[in-house]
Amino acid sequence: MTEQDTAWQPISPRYRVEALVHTLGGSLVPLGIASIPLWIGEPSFAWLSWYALAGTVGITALVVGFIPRRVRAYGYALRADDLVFRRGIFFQRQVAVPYGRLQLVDVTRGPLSRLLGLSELRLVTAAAATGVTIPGLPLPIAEELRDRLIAVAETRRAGL
Amino acid sequence: MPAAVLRRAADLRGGEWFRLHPLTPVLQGGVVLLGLAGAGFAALWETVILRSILIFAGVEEDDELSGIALLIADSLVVVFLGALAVVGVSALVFWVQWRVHVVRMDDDVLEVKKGVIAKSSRRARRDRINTIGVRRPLIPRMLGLAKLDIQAAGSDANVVLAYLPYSVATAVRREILQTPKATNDESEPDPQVVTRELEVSLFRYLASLVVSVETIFFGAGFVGTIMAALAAEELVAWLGPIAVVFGYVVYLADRFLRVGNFVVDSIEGDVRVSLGLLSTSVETIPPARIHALQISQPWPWKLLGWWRVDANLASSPGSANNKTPAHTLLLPVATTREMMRMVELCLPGLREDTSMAQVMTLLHLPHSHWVAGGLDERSLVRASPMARYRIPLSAGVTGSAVIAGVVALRCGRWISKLALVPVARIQSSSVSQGPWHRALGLSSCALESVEGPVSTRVLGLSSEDARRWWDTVQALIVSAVDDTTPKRRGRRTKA
Repeated sequence: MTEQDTAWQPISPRYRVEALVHTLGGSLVPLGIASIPLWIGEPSFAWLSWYALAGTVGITALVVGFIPRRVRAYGYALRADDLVFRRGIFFQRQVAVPYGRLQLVDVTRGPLSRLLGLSELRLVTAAAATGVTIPGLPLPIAEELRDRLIAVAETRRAGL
Repeated sequence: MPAAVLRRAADLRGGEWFRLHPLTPVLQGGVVLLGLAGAGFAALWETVILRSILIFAGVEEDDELSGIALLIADSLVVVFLGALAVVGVSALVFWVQWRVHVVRMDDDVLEVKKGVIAKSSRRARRDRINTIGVRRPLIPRMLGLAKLDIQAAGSDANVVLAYLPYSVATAVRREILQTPKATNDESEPDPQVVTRELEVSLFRYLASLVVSVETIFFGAGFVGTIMAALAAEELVAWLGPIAVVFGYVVYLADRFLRVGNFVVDSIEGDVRVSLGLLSTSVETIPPARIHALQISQPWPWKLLGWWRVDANLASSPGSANNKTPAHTLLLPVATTREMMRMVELCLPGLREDTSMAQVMTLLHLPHSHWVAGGLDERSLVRASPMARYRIPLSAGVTGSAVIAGVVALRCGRWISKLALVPVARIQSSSVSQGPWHRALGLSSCALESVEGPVSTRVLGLSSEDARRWWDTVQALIVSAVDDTTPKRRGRRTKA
């Protein structure tokens, strides 16, 4: 079975920091919305705000608690003919992208990931639904992977 | 630059710049101006024109007749001068726009330049052109004009050539698609062999619109609003059912006019689809552009034996105008025989009788009968019995099979759907599992295809089956040698 004979490569554990910042940053908007009744200054609505804030904080805490497992759930493997990528705990997905179908391999780095020395590898095929973005790769690994994928893709171009 | 108006397609061979039809700027930008003029007229009508008519006719008495009349006379002059200025300026703008809107073609590229202030220059490499659609919106069609929608590989790489006289447009289309070898050859190109394959009769199309799931929705809305109106006992409430009926009629008319008169031809292996009653659109689809095909049948059609065919196509048309049809609809309504013919045209790999029989088996029978219907047990997968808790209606028909280099994915009982995906076109494959699937020990399997209406996913496989199927399909994908590479037009033979 694929599960056993696939040598999954993990992503960098440093990605946990990036995921944490993203989660906290993402919770700011719901927190802001939840606190609107407080800003209005109508005391009879304040309870609504407290419930909403508690809910947001609770959900954020839950997401943060799962970050280590989520980061460990990411993995990729280079097989003979394709790249396999897996992600997710509750919604698991494993994708196999044949090298011959790769159109573009992108290495992107945000300011935060640059600080952490990480980068993101995005594989593009003709189908947007392929959606393979491997986060949390140390830059040298990402660049090496990109060059290798492009080299292999060149030799097996098909299906465009 | 001195450029002539393009009148003969063969002129393009010289590689010089040509202008398009003089009415182009009017048709492309004039609609806005006409709208403004209409709005202005409507505003004036009430205040000035209507009143002056009434006053001059003596219908409306006015105490200060002379003063008002003078005012109107004054404003009429102003209005007239203003209108004259608008016409003059817009004519000048149109003329300049027409002057700078030019097209050129050489052995390698097709180039269109336009714009005075916001200049734009678009080039399409001729060897990357996938197909050229001919579009004829209503007003240009009445003037005998057409535009070409040139679709090249890559997103937003389309070039629109608008407008040309219809006969010139079709000739230019063939000129662009021809290999530059013939450039020196002044003779006209050989006529292509066009075979009329299918015609969807207007009556059957209208009937298919009426016998549909949408009608049921509208009917439910009608009954609901009538009951609400009865309950409300107010005359105003009856506007509800009237609005629903009006909406239904508009919906029918819109679909009927846009997609009516559907004709399918085959030209040298390509499929040509023409549609539209008032505005028409023609698109030639090489089979290599079809990334996925879907045969579907909503349940009201089951008794009538009707089918609908859609496709996911590489490089979709019409970036310039949202109103151009996407041409992902390949047959709005067809009998079983016509549907089979369309599948054969689009997926030549399935032409064998046994393959078509297998396709029909997948469409008609629940998955327990698939092997009896001629399918190979080793090359198919069925939804697990547990799937009835996830997809209660369609668990008995959901599954997937490989037929002659095409992966077929069957789902849906109310709306039967069969997706056919040529292995050589699959971009990637995946298995996924959400919480609900996990609780039942199930997984889903998906084949990623280019964007379009066709869903290429099977739900409710047992996790073991899903993984086995994923491995099977992935092995097929990587070993698929692409024997039907898209025809590269206009490529120069390189030394």
